Amino acid sequence: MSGIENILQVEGLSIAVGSKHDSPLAAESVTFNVKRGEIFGMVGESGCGKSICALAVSGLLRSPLRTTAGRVMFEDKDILALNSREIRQLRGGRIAMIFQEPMTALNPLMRVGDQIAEMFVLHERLSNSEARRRAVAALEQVQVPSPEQRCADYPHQLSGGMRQRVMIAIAMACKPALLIADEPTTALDVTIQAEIISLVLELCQQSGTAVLLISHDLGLVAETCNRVAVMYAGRIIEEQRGDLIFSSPLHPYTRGLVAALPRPGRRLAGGQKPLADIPGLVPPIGQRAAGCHFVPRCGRADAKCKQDVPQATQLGGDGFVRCFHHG
Amino acid sequence: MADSLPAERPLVAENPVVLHAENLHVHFPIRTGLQKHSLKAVDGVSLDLRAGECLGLVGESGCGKSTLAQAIMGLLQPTAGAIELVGFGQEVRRRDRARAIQMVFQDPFSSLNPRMTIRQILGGPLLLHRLCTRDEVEGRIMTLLARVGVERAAMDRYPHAFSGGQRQRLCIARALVVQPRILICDEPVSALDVSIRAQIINLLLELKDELGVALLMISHDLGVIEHMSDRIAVMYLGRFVETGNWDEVIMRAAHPYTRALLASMPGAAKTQNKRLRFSGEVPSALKPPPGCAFHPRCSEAQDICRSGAGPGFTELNGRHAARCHFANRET
Repeated sequence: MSGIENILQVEGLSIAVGSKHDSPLAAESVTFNVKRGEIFGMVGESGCGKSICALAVSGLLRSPLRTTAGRVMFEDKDILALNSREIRQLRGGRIAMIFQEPMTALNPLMRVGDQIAEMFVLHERLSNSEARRRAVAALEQVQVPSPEQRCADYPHQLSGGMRQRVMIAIAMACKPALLIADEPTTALDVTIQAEIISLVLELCQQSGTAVLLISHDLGLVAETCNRVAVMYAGRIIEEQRGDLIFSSPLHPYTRGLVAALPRPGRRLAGGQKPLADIPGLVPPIGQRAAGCHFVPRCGRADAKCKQDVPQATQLGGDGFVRCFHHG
Repeated sequence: MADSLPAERPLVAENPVVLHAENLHVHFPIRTGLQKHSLKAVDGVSLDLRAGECLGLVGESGCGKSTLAQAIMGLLQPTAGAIELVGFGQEVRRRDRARAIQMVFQDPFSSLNPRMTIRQILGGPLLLHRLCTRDEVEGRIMTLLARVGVERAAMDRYPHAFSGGQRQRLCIARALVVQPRILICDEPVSALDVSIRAQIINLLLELKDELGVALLMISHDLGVIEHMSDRIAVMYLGRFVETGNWDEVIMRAAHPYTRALLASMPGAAKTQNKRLRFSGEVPSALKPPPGCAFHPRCSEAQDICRSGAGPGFTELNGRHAARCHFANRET
């Protein structure tokens, strides 16, 4: 198994909303792969389909969402073909998740220590007492002060940052091969955010875990990820090395996003110029025209863009862009 | 580079002061069992707000930014200290205050009445404050809608018919319809997507320059604050810890907390020193640490920081001050 370079391969994944044959697509032939131990970022505005892709990868799609095409290969298994028992064995063990809102993701009626210990009981078949001991160690690893006492706390007794640390302890308990982090720091302060992110990266590096980091924050993703996929209206429109997304964005949408971001140092360098905004709105699901979805907001669009869906243009090295007029 | 000099709009510093707050305290009584505490949400804040300037207020959640805004709005009664609305004397009538100070909130989905049409939402204040006759209302609304970039047909629709960005434009229109002198924006773009966020930021800055309204911009996002503000105030546990012109605060941050905030911004990592990032969370405002409130998280704390009443403001130059014992030290 260690021979496979890609731990996760998503190929042509399409997800529809509703059960009719012409139901609108929330994600359209999404293709990407995550290499072993790599940090892969997915970035996009709300409604672009990034969280839905994460749900599909973890086998959590529920009605009215359903996959209509594609494969999700994790290690050597197709997640979409597994039954719910097989998926449950993977999830929590080999695939772990961190969600945005740690208050709703934790069980409010269970002590946090028990919620962590549960992982060891279920996935490593440890005894209860042994699992408790490991839970304390896990809390210590995520730098929670006085972990023995915190184990006896309920989630409401902890602050937001502490809860997210507990979530991380649960997720990393069984040293997963893939960690899906869906907006892990959006609900937190910037100062706590920086801490939590570096903690996650450090733990993942130690255990060789690959991370699928989903965020709307271009700055965060560009700073932390090896590779970044930019999603727009259900499609990946650009994939690049993380450090290149700010310096050489290629798709007009990515360029617009980068220009629209008030970034440190920008005003010192160029004065208080108006931010470049992207006119208009993301087209809602079901109102997306044929061709490139970005056409109504794009300054470079022509007749060809309205008709045909741009195919991926491979870039030198890693990455691709889906645009007829990129660069 | 000519337009990048700090003196972008040097006139702002001479504009008339429209609001003056002196040593403002807002304390909330808290009872746990038999004990009574007071939560010092705002603990001695003084500020001036000038016409046509944007004062950026930045800090982590729970530091008292929103409480301060509500006290200025008159929604909360300050425990001590004075807020002077220049030109209105000591006793300001509620209606006058509501006309002079308006507010835009974070969540445009919960801050517009879902049962009122846009015409009612925008027309109500005009009639209440007797700013125009019934016949003129429609014209005034039309002009305003055009200015904030919402189509005229919006007049007779309900808020649910609009997207988040459009609603925030409507919230701005509602705040500006009474021609306030002061506009308080409490995290106005935090709930919006990046591409929409830029539209709203640009709109707010344009309106500020056009109408000469004073903008109190509250945000936890230093990127937004840096872009918009003429002056910046950094708040920590109910107090200002650093104030100054925006370029001074950003380029020559003197308080370790400000420096840590700057270092925490994504994208800042390459230019700022990662060592400055700090650990730990905001201490409870119920039991602020003795001495400088920031010392438990500060990497540079000395014995002097851990006891006593905490440092006062050190003036760095006429336009920049920080509440740190070591503010003058070169770093």
